[in-house]
Amino acid sequence: MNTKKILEELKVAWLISKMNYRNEAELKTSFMVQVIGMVVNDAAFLFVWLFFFSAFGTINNWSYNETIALQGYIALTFGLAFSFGDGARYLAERVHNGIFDNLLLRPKNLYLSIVTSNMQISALGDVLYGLILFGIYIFVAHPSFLQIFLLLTMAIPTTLIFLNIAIICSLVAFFVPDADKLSKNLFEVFFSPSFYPSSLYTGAIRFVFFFIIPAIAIGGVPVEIVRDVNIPMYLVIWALGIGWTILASFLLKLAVKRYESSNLIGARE
Amino acid sequence: MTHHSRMSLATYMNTDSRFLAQAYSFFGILKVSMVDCLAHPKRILSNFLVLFVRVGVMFALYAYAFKYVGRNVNGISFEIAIWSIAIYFIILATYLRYIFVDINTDVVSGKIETIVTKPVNYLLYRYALKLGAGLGDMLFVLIAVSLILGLTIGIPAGTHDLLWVLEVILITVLGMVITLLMYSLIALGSFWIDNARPFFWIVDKLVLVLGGSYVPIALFPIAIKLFAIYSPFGASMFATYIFNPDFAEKFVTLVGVQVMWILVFLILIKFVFGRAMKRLSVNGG
Repeated sequence: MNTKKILEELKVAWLISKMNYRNEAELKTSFMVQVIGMVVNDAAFLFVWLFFFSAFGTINNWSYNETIALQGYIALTFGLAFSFGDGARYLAERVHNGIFDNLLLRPKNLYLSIVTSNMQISALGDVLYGLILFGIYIFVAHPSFLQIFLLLTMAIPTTLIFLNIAIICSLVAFFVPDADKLSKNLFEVFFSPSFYPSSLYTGAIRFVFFFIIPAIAIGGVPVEIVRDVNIPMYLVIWALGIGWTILASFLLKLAVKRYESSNLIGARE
Repeated sequence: MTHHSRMSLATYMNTDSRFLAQAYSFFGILKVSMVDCLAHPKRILSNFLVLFVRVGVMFALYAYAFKYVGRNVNGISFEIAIWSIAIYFIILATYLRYIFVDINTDVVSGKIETIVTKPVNYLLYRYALKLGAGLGDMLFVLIAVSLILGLTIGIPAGTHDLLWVLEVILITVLGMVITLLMYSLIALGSFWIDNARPFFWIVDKLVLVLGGSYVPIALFPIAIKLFAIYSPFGASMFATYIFNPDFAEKFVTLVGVQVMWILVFLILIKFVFGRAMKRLSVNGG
């Protein structure tokens, strides 16, 4: 695919996302309740860690500051990925219900069609919460300009990793029947370890959670990179973001070959 | 026997047989739902995998934390902390809280109108489906996680006799009932607002914090601990207390709090569901 074609596909994806957003924002009260509700919901995790650190002190050089940044990364990454790319999570359900044909028949890029096929409005609350936590982190940890730059720019590759893992977990639906819950559980296996201080994971476990199931690549390791100003690792995170995108696109092509239309007849979404 | 008393007896017998019919339907649906759940071993295994990772990470976290402080914290040992968290996640594996999603979806999509026309109580039907699937999901993870923890860190010290087992079963069942009632009450809010999901998130996170998911309640500051005990959010997860040294001493209080919340929720649900049914119009189609 040449650059012009890629830009054209991205423009279409952007227009679909904008349309999804306008649809959702039409019900203003519901929109606001969902966004604010999500911010309140996310704040619970911070209290949990407040209780934890007050009982135990630091964990392998991780204290409250690092945890604020970690929660910020997770919220921002989740929010960016699913506010515009929630379709990644619903792929297994679409395949199981036989309504994947709608996307397959579109004359546009399949990967982007899947990703932008759904929008989760509450995820904008996660984005807002993530930015608030980054603001708090900057206020309490006094990072340098370079550290702030690293903190903010790494949200791009971490979002790519997150989104592509969601797609890869959904692909199981092409191989196993009725795999909706299975794919959600696989995603949980990836997502659950990301909430904890990455200094907990050492040796082989750290390798697994960084490269194979990249749970700590979406928050824990980026926080350490910002704290220690580790530029080589910063580049590794970007490489992982691009690498997982390429891998997800490749696996999607392979998986789609196994899809058999159920010729479901019904009202079009 | 007067005419009046004959009528009362007939009404009573009618109510009694209706109750039996409802109970028969409830357990019938529950059984079918459980059998259906057990027919998906891959799903059960994937549930176990999620639980294994979650408890495994908490294991590593608390092993480090207790090693770092080098002593028990607030009377809680490493073993008690891990068992408490594991029990939270085992109960979470029942997915009973997703009764909210089922009811909310029925209301928002309008599917509820097709269910309420059937000769079953709508809420009992939903509870039976969820409970059946939940128990099926929980069965394997309960056995597997208990075996793994029992073999690795052992069972925390204390008296674990038949009475203790019965107390554990009672407190767990009452907690599950609170979960079903509390989440279904929020879901009924969908009859009045467009989507009650934000309220679900907030309640869900209150259960997460006050139920002792990541940090056992015993490690909380005293004010939060009291709130956890007397609020329905903590009461739904009292099963996490079963290895605490003061469990036997507090048992009556804990059950009392659970029964109180069950009664409160039953009254609220009866009232709210009645009002909700008046708002519902069955149009067929």
